[in-house]
Amino acid sequence: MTSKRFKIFIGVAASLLLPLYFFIDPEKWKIFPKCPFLALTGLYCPGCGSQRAIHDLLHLRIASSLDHNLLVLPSLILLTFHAWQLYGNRGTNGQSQKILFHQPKTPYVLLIFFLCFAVLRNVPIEVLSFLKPD
Amino acid sequence: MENKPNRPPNYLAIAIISTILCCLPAGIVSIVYSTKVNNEYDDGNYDGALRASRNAKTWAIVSVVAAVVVWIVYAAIFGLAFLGAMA
Repeated sequence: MTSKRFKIFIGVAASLLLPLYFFIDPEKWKIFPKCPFLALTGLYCPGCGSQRAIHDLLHLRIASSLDHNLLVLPSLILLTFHAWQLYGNRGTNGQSQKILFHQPKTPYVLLIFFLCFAVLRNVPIEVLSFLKPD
Repeated sequence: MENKPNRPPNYLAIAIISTILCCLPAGIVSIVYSTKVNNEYDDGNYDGALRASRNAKTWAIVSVVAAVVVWIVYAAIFGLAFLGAMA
Protein backbone atom coordinates (compact mmCIF):
# COMPACT_ATOMS: atom_id res chain seq x y z
CA MET A 1 0.00 0.00 0.00
CA THR A 2 1.50 3.29 -0.99
CA SER A 3 1.36 6.08 1.47
CA LYS A 4 -0.88 8.07 -0.85
CA ARG A 5 -3.50 5.36 -1.17
CA PHE A 6 -3.35 4.93 2.61
CA LYS A 7 -4.06 8.64 3.11
CA ILE A 8 -7.01 8.48 0.73
CA PHE A 9 -8.36 5.41 2.56
CA ILE A 10 -8.07 7.16 5.93
CA GLY A 11 -9.71 10.27 4.52
CA VAL A 12 -12.65 8.40 3.04
CA ALA A 13 -13.12 6.24 6.14
CA ALA A 14 -12.99 9.24 8.44
CA SER A 15 -15.44 11.31 6.42
CA LEU A 16 -17.90 8.41 6.32
CA LEU A 17 -17.58 7.24 9.90
CA LEU A 18 -17.11 10.44 11.90
CA PRO A 19 -20.61 11.83 11.20
CA LEU A 20 -22.05 8.39 11.92
CA TYR A 21 -20.25 8.16 15.26
CA PHE A 22 -21.24 11.71 16.07
CA PHE A 23 -24.95 11.29 15.52
CA ILE A 24 -25.47 7.73 16.64
CA ASP A 25 -24.74 6.64 20.18
CA PRO A 26 -23.23 3.13 20.05
CA GLU A 27 -24.57 2.58 23.56
CA LYS A 28 -28.20 2.87 22.49
CA TRP A 29 -28.03 1.65 18.92
CA LYS A 30 -27.25 -1.98 18.46
CA ILE A 31 -26.31 -1.57 14.81
CA PHE A 32 -22.75 -1.03 15.98
CA PRO A 33 -20.92 -4.32 15.97
CA LYS A 34 -19.89 -5.99 19.14
CA CYS A 35 -16.38 -7.37 18.83
CA PRO A 36 -16.35 -10.99 17.63
CA PHE A 37 -13.38 -11.61 19.92
CA LEU A 38 -15.39 -10.46 22.93
CA ALA A 39 -18.39 -12.51 21.82
CA LEU A 40 -16.24 -15.62 21.46
CA THR A 41 -14.01 -15.35 24.51
CA GLY A 42 -15.71 -12.92 26.86
CA LEU A 43 -12.40 -11.08 27.16
CA TYR A 44 -11.80 -7.39 26.54
CA CYS A 45 -9.05 -6.62 24.05
CA PRO A 46 -7.33 -3.22 23.88
CA GLY A 47 -9.84 -1.91 21.34
CA CYS A 48 -12.90 -2.63 23.46
CA GLY A 49 -15.01 0.44 24.11
CA SER A 50 -13.32 2.48 21.39
CA GLN A 51 -16.54 3.06 19.46
CA ARG A 52 -18.21 4.53 22.53
CA ALA A 53 -15.01 6.42 23.34
CA ILE A 54 -15.02 8.02 19.89
CA HIS A 55 -18.67 8.97 20.23
CA ASP A 56 -17.83 10.61 23.56
CA LEU A 57 -14.85 12.40 22.08
CA LEU A 58 -16.91 13.82 19.22
CA HIS A 59 -19.22 15.27 21.88
CA LEU A 60 -16.22 16.52 23.85
CA ARG A 61 -16.95 14.28 26.81
CA ILE A 62 -13.32 13.61 27.64
CA ALA A 63 -13.84 11.89 30.99
CA SER A 64 -16.47 9.56 29.60
CA SER A 65 -14.24 8.75 26.63
CA LEU A 66 -11.34 7.82 28.89
CA ASP A 67 -13.72 5.73 30.96
CA HIS A 68 -14.83 3.71 27.93
CA ASN A 69 -11.34 3.24 26.59
CA LEU A 70 -8.38 4.82 28.33
CA LEU A 71 -6.11 4.61 25.30
CA VAL A 72 -8.22 6.05 22.48
CA LEU A 73 -7.54 9.72 23.22
CA PRO A 74 -3.80 9.23 23.97
CA SER A 75 -3.46 7.13 20.80
CA LEU A 76 -5.13 9.78 18.67
CA ILE A 77 -2.86 12.45 20.15
CA LEU A 78 0.15 10.24 19.45
CA LEU A 79 -0.96 9.60 15.86
CA THR A 80 -1.53 13.30 15.29
CA PHE A 81 1.96 13.98 16.61
CA HIS A 82 3.31 11.30 14.23
CA ALA A 83 1.53 12.85 11.25
CA TRP A 84 2.93 16.23 12.23
CA GLN A 85 6.45 14.80 12.47
CA LEU A 86 6.09 13.05 9.11
CA TYR A 87 4.98 16.33 7.60
CA GLY A 88 7.93 18.13 9.18
CA ASN A 89 10.35 15.54 7.79
CA ARG A 90 8.83 15.14 4.36
CA GLY A 91 11.46 14.68 1.69
CA THR A 92 13.63 12.46 3.92
CA ASN A 93 11.78 9.39 2.64
CA GLY A 94 10.83 8.40 6.19
CA GLN A 95 14.47 7.66 7.02
CA SER A 96 14.92 10.47 9.51
CA GLN A 97 15.78 9.16 12.95
CA LYS A 98 14.14 12.18 14.53
CA ILE A 99 10.73 10.63 13.89
CA LEU A 100 9.51 9.12 17.16
CA PHE A 101 7.72 6.16 15.56
CA HIS A 102 10.87 5.16 13.66
CA GLN A 103 13.04 4.93 16.72
CA PRO A 104 13.83 1.37 17.81
CA LYS A 105 12.39 1.65 21.32
CA THR A 106 9.03 3.15 20.41
CA PRO A 107 7.29 -0.06 19.23
CA TYR A 108 8.53 -1.85 22.37
CA VAL A 109 7.21 0.76 24.75
CA LEU A 110 3.85 0.79 22.98
CA LEU A 111 3.68 -3.01 22.84
CA ILE A 112 4.29 -3.25 26.59
CA PHE A 113 1.69 -0.55 27.16
CA PHE A 114 -0.95 -2.28 25.05
CA LEU A 115 -0.26 -5.71 26.50
CA CYS A 116 -0.46 -4.46 30.10
CA PHE A 117 -3.68 -2.66 29.20
CA ALA A 118 -5.10 -5.82 27.61
CA VAL A 119 -4.29 -7.95 30.63
CA LEU A 120 -5.14 -5.50 33.40
CA ARG A 121 -8.54 -4.56 32.04
CA ASN A 122 -9.57 -8.20 32.31
CA VAL A 123 -8.52 -8.47 35.95
CA PRO A 124 -11.69 -8.39 38.04
CA ILE A 125 -10.46 -6.07 40.80
CA GLU A 126 -12.34 -2.97 41.84
CA VAL A 127 -9.19 -0.79 41.71
CA LEU A 128 -8.72 -1.64 38.03
CA SER A 129 -12.33 -1.13 37.01
CA PHE A 130 -11.46 2.22 35.38
CA LEU A 131 -9.74 0.22 32.64
CA LYS A 132 -12.90 -1.68 31.73
CA PRO A 133 -14.92 -0.51 28.76
CA ASP A 134 -18.13 0.12 30.72
CA MET B 1 30.49 3.85 4.76
CA GLU B 2 28.99 0.63 3.48
CA ASN B 3 25.96 0.74 1.30
CA LYS B 4 23.05 -0.02 3.60
CA PRO B 5 19.56 -0.48 2.23
CA ASN B 6 16.92 1.89 3.55
CA ARG B 7 15.34 1.06 6.87
CA PRO B 8 12.03 -0.65 6.06
CA PRO B 9 8.89 1.00 7.42
CA ASN B 10 7.65 -0.48 10.70
CA TYR B 11 3.97 0.40 10.10
CA LEU B 12 3.60 1.34 13.74
CA ALA B 13 0.96 3.96 13.07
CA ILE B 14 -1.42 1.65 11.24
CA ALA B 15 -0.67 -1.05 13.84
CA ILE B 16 -1.86 1.30 16.58
CA ILE B 17 -4.95 2.24 14.60
CA SER B 18 -5.84 -1.40 14.04
CA THR B 19 -5.22 -2.32 17.68
CA ILE B 20 -7.20 0.43 19.25
CA LEU B 21 -9.97 0.93 16.72
CA CYS B 22 -10.63 -2.48 15.27
CA CYS B 23 -11.40 -4.39 18.43
CA LEU B 24 -9.28 -7.31 17.29
CA PRO B 25 -6.10 -8.76 18.80
CA ALA B 26 -4.50 -9.01 15.34
CA GLY B 27 -3.28 -5.46 15.85
CA ILE B 28 -1.06 -6.66 18.71
CA VAL B 29 0.62 -9.13 16.35
CA SER B 30 1.29 -6.24 14.03
CA ILE B 31 2.99 -4.25 16.81
CA VAL B 32 5.13 -7.29 17.67
CA TYR B 33 6.41 -7.41 14.07
CA SER B 34 6.83 -3.67 14.24
CA THR B 35 9.34 -4.09 17.08
CA LYS B 36 11.20 -6.70 15.05
CA VAL B 37 11.80 -4.42 12.08
CA ASN B 38 14.31 -2.17 13.83
CA ASN B 39 15.86 -5.08 15.74
CA GLU B 40 16.67 -7.03 12.61
CA TYR B 41 17.79 -3.93 10.77
CA ASP B 42 20.18 -2.86 13.52
CA ASP B 43 21.57 -6.42 13.64
CA GLY B 44 22.37 -6.08 9.95
CA ASN B 45 19.74 -8.61 8.95
CA TYR B 46 18.13 -6.56 6.20
CA ASP B 47 16.11 -9.43 4.75
CA GLY B 48 14.68 -10.21 8.16
CA ALA B 49 13.83 -6.55 8.68
CA LEU B 50 12.02 -6.47 5.36
CA ARG B 51 10.11 -9.65 6.22
CA ALA B 52 9.10 -8.26 9.61
CA SER B 53 8.03 -5.07 7.90
CA ARG B 54 5.82 -6.98 5.46
CA ASN B 55 4.33 -9.03 8.30
CA ALA B 56 3.57 -5.92 10.32
CA LYS B 57 1.76 -4.50 7.31
CA THR B 58 -0.11 -7.72 6.58
CA TRP B 59 -1.38 -8.16 10.15
CA ALA B 60 -2.47 -4.55 10.41
CA ILE B 61 -4.39 -4.93 7.16
CA VAL B 62 -5.89 -8.24 8.34
CA SER B 63 -7.15 -6.49 11.44
CA VAL B 64 -8.56 -3.51 9.55
CA VAL B 65 -10.21 -5.62 6.86
CA ALA B 66 -11.71 -8.00 9.42
CA ALA B 67 -13.13 -5.06 11.33
CA VAL B 68 -14.55 -3.51 8.17
CA VAL B 69 -16.16 -6.81 7.13
CA VAL B 70 -17.72 -7.37 10.56
CA TRP B 71 -18.89 -3.79 10.56
CA ILE B 72 -20.55 -4.06 7.16
CA VAL B 73 -22.22 -7.38 7.99
CA TYR B 74 -23.60 -5.91 11.22
CA ALA B 75 -24.78 -2.73 9.57
CA ALA B 76 -26.48 -4.76 6.83
CA ILE B 77 -28.27 -7.11 9.23
CA PHE B 78 -29.44 -4.44 11.63
CA GLY B 79 -30.09 -1.92 8.88
CA LEU B 80 -32.46 -4.38 7.20
CA ALA B 81 -34.10 -5.22 10.52
CA PHE B 82 -34.53 -1.52 11.21
CA LEU B 83 -36.04 -0.85 7.79
CA GLY B 84 -38.26 -3.90 8.25
CA ALA B 85 -39.54 -2.53 11.55
CA MET B 86 -40.24 0.86 9.95
CA ALA B 87 -42.22 -0.61 7.06
